[in-house]
Amino acid sequence: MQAIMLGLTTVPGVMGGMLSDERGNVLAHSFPSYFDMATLKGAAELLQDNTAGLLDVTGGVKLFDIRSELGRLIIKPLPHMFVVVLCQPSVNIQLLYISLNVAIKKLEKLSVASPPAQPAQQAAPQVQATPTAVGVPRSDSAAPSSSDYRAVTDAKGVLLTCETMKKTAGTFWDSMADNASVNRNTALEISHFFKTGPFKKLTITNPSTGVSKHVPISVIQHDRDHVYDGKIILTQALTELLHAKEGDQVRVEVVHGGGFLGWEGI
Amino acid sequence: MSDISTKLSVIPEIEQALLMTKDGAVVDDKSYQAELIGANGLFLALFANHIGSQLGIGEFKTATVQGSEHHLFLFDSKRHYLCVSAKGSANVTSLDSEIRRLLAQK
Repeated sequence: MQAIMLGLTTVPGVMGGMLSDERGNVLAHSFPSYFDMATLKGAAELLQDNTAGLLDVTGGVKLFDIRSELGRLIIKPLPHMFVVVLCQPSVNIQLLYISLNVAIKKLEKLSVASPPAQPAQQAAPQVQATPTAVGVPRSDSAAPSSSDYRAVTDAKGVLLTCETMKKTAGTFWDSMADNASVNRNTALEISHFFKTGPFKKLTITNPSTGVSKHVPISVIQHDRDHVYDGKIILTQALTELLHAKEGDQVRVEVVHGGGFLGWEGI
Repeated sequence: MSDISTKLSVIPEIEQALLMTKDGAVVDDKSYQAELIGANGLFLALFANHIGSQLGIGEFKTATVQGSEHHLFLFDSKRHYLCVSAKGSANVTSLDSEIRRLLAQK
């Protein structure tokens, strides 16, 4: 990947290229050293957060071209990735498009040949904190900046470690309802496994007891230190219903509707 | 409809062209469609400025989004943004140069 990004810089006027994933991780880059990792990570996070905003009006973004006095930025969204190229305003854009298409073809071959890429560099060391409850503030200083979580699966679904939502004044009533929460990375992995796109409900099965339940899912948006990767937070009521204990593995499945209208079984 | 919108309406691939203030108020068009395009244009302006300043190239002058069904063009001026929506079947590069050619005409 690094070589592909370096290949883009051979186009006259190109300052650097970056490949980032949909989670805001920088996978590879060929920017000069004065662009530090935090800057590139910030840009990758901006892409991750904002590109979906123009999906409705354009029917799917193929390319961004942002021009300013000091430079020109070409952003190419790919499935689960973004290629960003920073160039001088005077760049030969047609030549860049040709090189970009070549780079994309190489990336496609690479992604077919190998499993999902891991982040190239990490700005901070990986520290796994043990969570106690949803929403408990954590120290950001030792937080890992990127996630390398990949789903653990079996033949039927994705296996997640079970954690019970603690009863507090704020969660007392919620703990009586049957619902569950996963973080964004975990939700993406589930969505990729079932190839469904966004989902609102999951069927959770405790493999040891065979009990299962179809429940609404909420997504934890701000888990920047990735402590809930591969975990599912169940309410007290749901934990009791599934006869699950803290730390048990449960299987989650996205239910596809059947019938003529696709509603049956939902 | 503003003068610029009238001028650009001669290009058949252009669906809508509107002028808006930098805080997103559309000039001379109160339709829902104009408001929608204006909101998306403003979103694009904020995004382009954010990522531009993050990578050190400063505020944008023009931003183009090539889409599957519609393209979106955004041009910056001193007090306004010109936001243009075009058909997705059109060639972005030729459309961009055509818009610039018409805007440069007195």
